[in-house]
Amino acid sequence: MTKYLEQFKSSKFANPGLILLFILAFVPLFISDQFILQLLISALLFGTLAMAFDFTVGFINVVNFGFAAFWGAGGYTSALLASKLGVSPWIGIFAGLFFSAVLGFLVGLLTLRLHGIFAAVMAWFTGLGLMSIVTNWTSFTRGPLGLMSPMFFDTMDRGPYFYVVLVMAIFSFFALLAIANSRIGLFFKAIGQDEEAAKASGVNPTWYRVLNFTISTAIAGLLGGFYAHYIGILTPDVMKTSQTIEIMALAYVGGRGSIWGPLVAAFFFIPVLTYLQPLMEIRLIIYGLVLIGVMIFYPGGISALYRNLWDRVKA
Amino acid sequence: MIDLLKVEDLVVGYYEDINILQGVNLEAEKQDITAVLGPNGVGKSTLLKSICGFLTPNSGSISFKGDSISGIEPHKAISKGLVYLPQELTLFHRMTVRENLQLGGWTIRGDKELIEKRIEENFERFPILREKAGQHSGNLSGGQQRMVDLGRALMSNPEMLLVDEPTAGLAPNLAGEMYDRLISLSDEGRTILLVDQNIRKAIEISDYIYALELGKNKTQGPREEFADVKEVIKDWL
Amino acid sequence: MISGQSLASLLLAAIVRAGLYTLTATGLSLIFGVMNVPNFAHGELYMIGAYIAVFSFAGLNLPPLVAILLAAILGFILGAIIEKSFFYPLRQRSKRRKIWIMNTFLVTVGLSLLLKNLIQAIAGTKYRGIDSYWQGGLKVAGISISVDRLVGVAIAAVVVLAFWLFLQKTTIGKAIRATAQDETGAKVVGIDLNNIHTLTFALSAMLASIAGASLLSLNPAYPTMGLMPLFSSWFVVILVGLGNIASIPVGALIISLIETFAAYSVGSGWQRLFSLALIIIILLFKPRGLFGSDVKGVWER
Repeated sequence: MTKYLEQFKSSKFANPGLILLFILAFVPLFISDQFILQLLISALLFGTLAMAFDFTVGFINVVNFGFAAFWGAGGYTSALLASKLGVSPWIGIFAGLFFSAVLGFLVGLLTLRLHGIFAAVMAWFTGLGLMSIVTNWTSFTRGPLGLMSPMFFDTMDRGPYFYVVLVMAIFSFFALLAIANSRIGLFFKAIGQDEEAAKASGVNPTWYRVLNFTISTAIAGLLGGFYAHYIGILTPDVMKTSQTIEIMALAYVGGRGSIWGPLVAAFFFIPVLTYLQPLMEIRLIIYGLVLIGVMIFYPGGISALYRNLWDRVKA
Repeated sequence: MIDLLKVEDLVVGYYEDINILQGVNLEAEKQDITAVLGPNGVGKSTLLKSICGFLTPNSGSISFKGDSISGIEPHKAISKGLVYLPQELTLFHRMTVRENLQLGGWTIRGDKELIEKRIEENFERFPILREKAGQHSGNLSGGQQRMVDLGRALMSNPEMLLVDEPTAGLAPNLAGEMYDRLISLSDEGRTILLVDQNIRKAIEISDYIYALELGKNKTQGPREEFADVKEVIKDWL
Repeated sequence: MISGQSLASLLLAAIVRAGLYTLTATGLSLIFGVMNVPNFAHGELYMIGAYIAVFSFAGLNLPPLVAILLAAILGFILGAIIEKSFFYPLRQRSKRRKIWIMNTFLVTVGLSLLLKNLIQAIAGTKYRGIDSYWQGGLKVAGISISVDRLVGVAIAAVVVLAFWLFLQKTTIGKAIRATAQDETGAKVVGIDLNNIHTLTFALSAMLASIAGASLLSLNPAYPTMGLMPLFSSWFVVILVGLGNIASIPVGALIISLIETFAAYSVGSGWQRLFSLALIIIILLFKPRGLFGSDVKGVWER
């Protein structure tokens, strides 16, 4: 038994996130309650977005405060292609991925020379700019009226949607962790910790920072496409700063730099927040307090908690 | 003679497990210049920072004039008569020389007359500062900035100065001037604890010398015992 | 073409807006300069000022100036409480300066959620405005100016001027600036940083609160009203340089002129895109702002 534990521990994908995804794969076999499926879809969707967010903040140490705009951009791309040109959603989501990746590449270039709060503010402002365009270009996007987007499936059953987002989550999980654990991930961390030192040791921060942004926003774009064809209508609200905040909160509470932590955090927070819905404002007051509490008392989040517990078990 | 400052078994570190100082002992007599010497990274600056409250010791004790000041808050250390001059200059660069001096008297801010009196004393000590009184300290030369730094420290009329590398980056003639200042401050009755890279000069002006080695005491003694400088620094290089 | 009359009234509107932005941006910049906290909850402090004023003016029938004064005092107290209960413990616990800024940023995000929803739980989502504090209007060269706005701008100007003098001339004001310029230096001369931080946050909250209270007739109180001034304050602060307080009125005027004239010529939806484009260009080519930042070392963090 201990041997297997050791083996499990030594694999780079071994973490509670993997176990979670594994269990989830069998969920629809046992659960047909649409409400619970919807909850799980939300958790997977936001958990994956938070993993992609962590890929930037937890590695190159740049807060992409305009993150929701990339998510929204992917969704709008796919929805517009489908509604204006009749492109299949299955192709559209990849167009969304590509478009968001291009945007991420450009914003990555814009934030290149900036650090800390300046980089965050730059990403924020470009995100606000995108949202402003989507809101006001009503002849194209219908703005706040909402853009209708065809659904993936002709069924009210949430089961198929669950599997679509699960596949995206699993893909993102393995892709992000593989990169994070490779040499490239090491360079990302080096740049995040001390850009000058990284430069001195021959790592080219320009290229890696832009690469990081591109990968992270590509995943955001893909999930944006999913969202568009899952919900069926898009408004500029998907690009709101408050959406970024929700994703960012999951990333921080889950533990920056772990990739899996944010996913696990989503499965904790999203159901709890949904069940607390009747409490109205109180629910967001609690949310705010939890955020503050985590940052003050346990800034390492869930993944640091897990590491500490694991060390204690081993000792 | 009574010890003004007494440090016993001091253990200090920046992070939980790594202690820079691992049980250092030190005593400084009133009106003496006491030098702390040693190669880079043995914890000389850490020692000064712990005494004036910039770092909290993990264990051991520090007493000043017989009172324990271990883990004292920095702003309280200064009211006790202890002032710290870090190696890197910490002037308020977008404020005038006069404002810098005024803020040096922060602990006596209620007494405007006393502050004016001490600013005047500083202008007599460093005549150039009177000329530059209205200029931003950031625009002064390196030597002049050191003067403002020392002047600012003297505003609270400290009994003891903890001086970290006062001549770092100064031209030799300016450095010489700085050592003369320290001697005259000692003659005024102030006690000085000096950390310096310039071993020869530090030994020359000090009354008593401590040599540290990797966070611990190595040797100590009055100036005479350190006469042969080459012997002292032999194993540091 | 814009007629002379509408030009004058647009200018007037821009000046009123600039007064508001100056008040909010000054506090934002100050907290960043002194404590290195990028405050996302600044708009909520503005919102709370508006609520205090509307309840004391319309609810308790207090005179306008008393209502604004009350907003100032309560805003100050609230700011002090927030600093002592959230930022003080965080500072005690965090040793690494590099992550401080982004950690506090998330704390302020939580704070923003907390305050917004607390007010919403108490007061609901209804807009609570007033017609005006002061009745009447003036007619100058053909354009009418309401006394209310005039007094609003005057209050902003007086408060900003008084605050600037406080920072420049008083010993405590100098200690606040000293802390922003060199934190170690401030410790060396015996300034108790904990007190300075609490005072700074309280003052910043007070300024935001006054802004919310004094322009109540223009912007009625509602829980999410803080978002727009938050955006604009960040625009101003980035434009002139983070931590650079003296240049804020200039930046506020630039931003409000752009917003006002853009709203007039291309419609109010697109106005924000203009200031955004300007800020993005500034960040690209002059990332330390038009007039540079006073804050030492903040660039690297």
